[in-house]
Amino acid sequence: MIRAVYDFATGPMLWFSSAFFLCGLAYRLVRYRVLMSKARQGLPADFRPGWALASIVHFLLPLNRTARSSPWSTLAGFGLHIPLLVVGLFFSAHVVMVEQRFGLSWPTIPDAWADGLTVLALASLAFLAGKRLLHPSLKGLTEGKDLAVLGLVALPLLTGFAAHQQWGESLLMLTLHVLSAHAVLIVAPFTKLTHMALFFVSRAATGSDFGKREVGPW
Amino acid sequence: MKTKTSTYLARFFRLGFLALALAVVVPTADCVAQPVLLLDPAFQAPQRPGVPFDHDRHAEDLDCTLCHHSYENGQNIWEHDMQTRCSACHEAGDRGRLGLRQAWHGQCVGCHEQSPKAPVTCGECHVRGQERQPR
Repeated sequence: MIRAVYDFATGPMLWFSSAFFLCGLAYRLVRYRVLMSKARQGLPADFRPGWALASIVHFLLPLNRTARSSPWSTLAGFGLHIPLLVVGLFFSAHVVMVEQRFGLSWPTIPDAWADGLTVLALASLAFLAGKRLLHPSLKGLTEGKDLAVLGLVALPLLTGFAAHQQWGESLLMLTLHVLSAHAVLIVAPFTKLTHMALFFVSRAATGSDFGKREVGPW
Repeated sequence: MKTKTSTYLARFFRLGFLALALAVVVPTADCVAQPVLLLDPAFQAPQRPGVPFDHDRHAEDLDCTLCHHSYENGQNIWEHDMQTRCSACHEAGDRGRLGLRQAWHGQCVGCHEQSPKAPVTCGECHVRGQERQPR
């Protein structure tokens, strides 16, 4: 039974989730563009690509006002995103999976690094959730869905870590890992996880506007 | 006296059976490889423990040349006394289709994925706590 779910989750469902994820994000980008065009109707076209790009760079690196005013949150942000990218792309099990499927391969990080980075990501998620719940000016803005999305991101990390440590039944744990990763892909286009695509366009728009006002985008 | 004789006879037969059993079982036990630990020494700093592999269980159903191979002009010319270590041909540093890691995984996972009861996850084969030395 679990094996059938595992086969489905690593087979047909992989294509469905990936397509849904990519189409969903593409839809959100197009929608952003359409809404922005409507909002700017009648205004002169004065987008400033230099400022937009500089703003994106300053927020991809901790070189901005928010990083200075909220260093711990910035640290947690990087502590979450760097492991997501590095472990997602360079963990041996992930690379072996692609290697077996498609014959493509690339270097991997040592498994011990993946363990450490996953713990760092989980600690960062806990910090961000704790701040949302406890920070005086943030807790009033926090809705259930904000915490739910943090919990959802934690699921593939927890199950992946457990699978790697070989806690519980391997097939069950890996199936839960793959299913929770599918859940992240499927909800990503319609939750705050959209920032993985919209960050770039919204930051570009903000950077351009701030540039025009010459207040500096960062 | 009669009882003593039958007791001796019984002992004799028991010993005889034991000897026969040992004669049959011991060499067989030597041939029947216990699960061996597959861990090619060509792998530098392997990240996962080796894989306990029951050769006989696989040999019961499968043809030897399904796994063992040595290709010449597209023909598998492998025979029992030939070199069978994967790293004799497949290189650990090669990340292409014929790299050592992919060759090993391809040999096992390729079949296991077709069989609903065979192990398919990393942890089902690379079991933590297994010794890291090849046998």
